[in-house]
Amino acid sequence: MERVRKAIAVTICALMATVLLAGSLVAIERVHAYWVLSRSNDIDRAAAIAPFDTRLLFIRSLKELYWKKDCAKVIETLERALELQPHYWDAMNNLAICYAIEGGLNDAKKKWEQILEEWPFYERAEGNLREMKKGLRPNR
Amino acid sequence: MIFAYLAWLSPLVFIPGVFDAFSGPKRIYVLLLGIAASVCATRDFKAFPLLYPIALYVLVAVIPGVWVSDPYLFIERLGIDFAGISLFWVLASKQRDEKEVETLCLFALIIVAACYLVRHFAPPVESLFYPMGNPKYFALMAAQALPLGIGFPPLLFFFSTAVLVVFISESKAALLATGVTVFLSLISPWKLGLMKAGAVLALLIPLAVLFSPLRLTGDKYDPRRATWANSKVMAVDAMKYVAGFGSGQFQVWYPAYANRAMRETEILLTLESRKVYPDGLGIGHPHNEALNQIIETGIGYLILLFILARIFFHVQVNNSLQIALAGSLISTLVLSAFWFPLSHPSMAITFWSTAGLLWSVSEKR
Repeated sequence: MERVRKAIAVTICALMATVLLAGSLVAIERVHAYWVLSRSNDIDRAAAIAPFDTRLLFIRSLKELYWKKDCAKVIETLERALELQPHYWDAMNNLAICYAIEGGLNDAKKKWEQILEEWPFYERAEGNLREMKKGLRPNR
Repeated sequence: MIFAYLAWLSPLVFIPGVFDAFSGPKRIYVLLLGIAASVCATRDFKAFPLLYPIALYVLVAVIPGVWVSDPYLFIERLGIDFAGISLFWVLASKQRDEKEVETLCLFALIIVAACYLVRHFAPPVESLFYPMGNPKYFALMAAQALPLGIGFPPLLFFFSTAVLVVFISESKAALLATGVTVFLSLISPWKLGLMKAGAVLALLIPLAVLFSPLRLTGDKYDPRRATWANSKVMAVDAMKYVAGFGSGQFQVWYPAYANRAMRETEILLTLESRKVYPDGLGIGHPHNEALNQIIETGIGYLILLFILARIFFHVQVNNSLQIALAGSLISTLVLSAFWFPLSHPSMAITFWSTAGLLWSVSEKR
């Protein structure tokens, strides 16, 4: 009985220590990324340090969309963010905008309809879908 | 004992200017402390109190790793739970002298006062000291620490009360929690029986939200009520997974449930009231620990309740130090009806280290 107890204790402690170590590494990278962002305002570097942080990915995508006008990069960034957090509506809305800019109007329509199916009160998605149905395309 | 001191030092851990929405530097400190505790805990295999229920809780908490969409949030959040459990084990593993535990209680009260002083009297550079937390957070910490003063002579207790009640008043939840603990610990002569009854009540209070109607109306927005109502719908779906959506996944899933309660009750919303309900993003917690745990760990919450009940019922002697430690735990559990102390890095480990000390001082000698 004592041996069983010891085996269980060792296993549980080892499991917890592994999770704690992995969690520490993730937390350190996340804090490092926000430290870089707060000191240098370099979102590209911050997002590269913590590519799993969806907030940093979203901020980077805004920079790529509005300053660099690089829709291909925005799509890649936002799809990564949505893999981690599938119900990130602002990211999905901006992804749909990029699809529409690149000519993928059906893909854009599906994304907006997906948002509105789960969250009917998102006015941005509602407005974008309405504009698309009128035949208007978003400007680059 | 060094682990208890390090746990109570955690509220003071911060890096000026670094704010990642939820205490990143504290989280790192807590996780590293947890690694040290889990290694030290293996030194004495005979003394693993509540080994089987805790092992079951750990396994149930790990299972959702198979289906979580954000494994990084999962690992970080799970690490906080495991840090707490490791600290409980390492502190509960040997019998301790009451004098050294009393010294720790005094240390805890001083740390809370120090946090208040740093936050309120720091230079007027908001972003630099913002990671120290808002005044409501310190009110909750004070509510957790104040009961520890009950074990001291009355003069010292009333002095600490006078100091800490200044910032307990920032939060109604903190006032309620402190009031409940003071009543249980000081008013009645039958302290031990009342303490155990109070503990059972404190464990059940956070569950009250599950059984309350929480009716939402279309003309007035109450953000807390709306979050609770939506989270109840979420909890029902989470139980279909048995082990819940996974630790840290509340904020991942909540946007999909942000308006479910309204749609479920088919509230007829006017055009004006639609604008009242804000975006469903940015809500990291349902502001109720029971809902949070059920959504993230499913049946793991029932196992956690069993573990906590066992800790309280382990107390057999009407001793003021044990009542003080139990009072701190009860205060935290009352707070958990309105907040998420077991999910916050430093409050979680101060809770579990206090639980470990309670177990060790209440061991039969």
